[in-house]
Amino acid sequence: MPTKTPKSTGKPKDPKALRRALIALSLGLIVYGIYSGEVNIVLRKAIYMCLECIGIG
Amino acid sequence: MAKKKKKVPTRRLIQLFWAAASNSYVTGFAAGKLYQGNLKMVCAPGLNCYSCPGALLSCPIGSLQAVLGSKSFVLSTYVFGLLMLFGAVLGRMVCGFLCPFGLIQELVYKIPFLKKVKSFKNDGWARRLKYVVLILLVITLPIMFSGGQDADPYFCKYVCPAGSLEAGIPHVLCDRLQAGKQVVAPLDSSGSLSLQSALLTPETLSMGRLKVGLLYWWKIGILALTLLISLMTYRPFCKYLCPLGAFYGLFNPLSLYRLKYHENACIHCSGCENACGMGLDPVRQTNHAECVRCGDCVAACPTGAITMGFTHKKPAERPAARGKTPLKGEQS
Repeated sequence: MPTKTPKSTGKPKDPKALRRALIALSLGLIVYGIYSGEVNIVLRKAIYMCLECIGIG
Repeated sequence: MAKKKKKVPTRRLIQLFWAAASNSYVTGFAAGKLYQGNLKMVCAPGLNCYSCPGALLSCPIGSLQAVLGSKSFVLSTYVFGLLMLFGAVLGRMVCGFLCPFGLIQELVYKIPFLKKVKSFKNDGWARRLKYVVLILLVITLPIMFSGGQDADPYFCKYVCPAGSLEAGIPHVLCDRLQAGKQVVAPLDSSGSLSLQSALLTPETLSMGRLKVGLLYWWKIGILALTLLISLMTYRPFCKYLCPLGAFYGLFNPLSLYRLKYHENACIHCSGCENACGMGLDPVRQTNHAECVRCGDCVAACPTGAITMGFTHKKPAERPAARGKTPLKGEQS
């Protein structure tokens, strides 16, 4: 009697192409964000005490 | 086997190192001030409040709400780009290795107090709550209310227990200490009041610049509840509420850092499933959105059938497949 083999999980293979596209897209978004001045808002929010985060504001 | 057992302490060391390094502005803790350098333009990968006195980096969720809620921007390409990059490269490995609040929950869970609960009825549905938090509190509400003025960071304001722990408590304590010193200073010469007794007077408690109200205690309540539940269940905030975990979870199936299941080496002992704190079956749910890449399943596997990393070595086939009876603890 043949040995029972475990069922294949049927998972897709490593999605390399999609991952590369995502990394490229994210790098593009970061560069665009820096260029458009978004980092200034991030910095402005981060260097002053966020009263909402503390639970005061 | 000995080699595998080292993986958990290594992760803990990385967690501790990252939590300390990303919150290493010691002057901030001493003076109750914040770091104001350019490093704060960069978001930390994990949930780390930027109002923590020691924080060197920005909170990604706070930054996302700040940009989405600002009058100047409709979308946040910079923060979304950073989060996508972390997600595509690391996935929820960020949760397992680089999140200070995840570390705190894990340490609390280690305390042998109260019965540990792995799952409960409707646990799966409850885990979807974090997607609601992400879409509603972090994205939709800041966009909706960013008309005339900057919108509130709703998640930070009403939910985030990390903000209370890392920023709320330290700042209020620091504020009260400074207020207490002001009271003690003129009285010290006469020696009539100690710092400790000064801090306990109602007069001193109301003297600080930071006025503690209902919102503060609401957030402290959420923090206390999170820590209490952490005594019973593994990383409850990550499972049910964390919007950052929800976002990174979307990238888990395709991230570069990933788990790999080697069917040929598996002896189907269910050791990995029993070891998983997130309640997953790593064989069927490899790289599931809920997996925080803690590596407990990797450490529990006696045959090396699950590997975790950027690259994966193929383990030897399971003994049964070679016509042998599997030996307990046999190393492939």
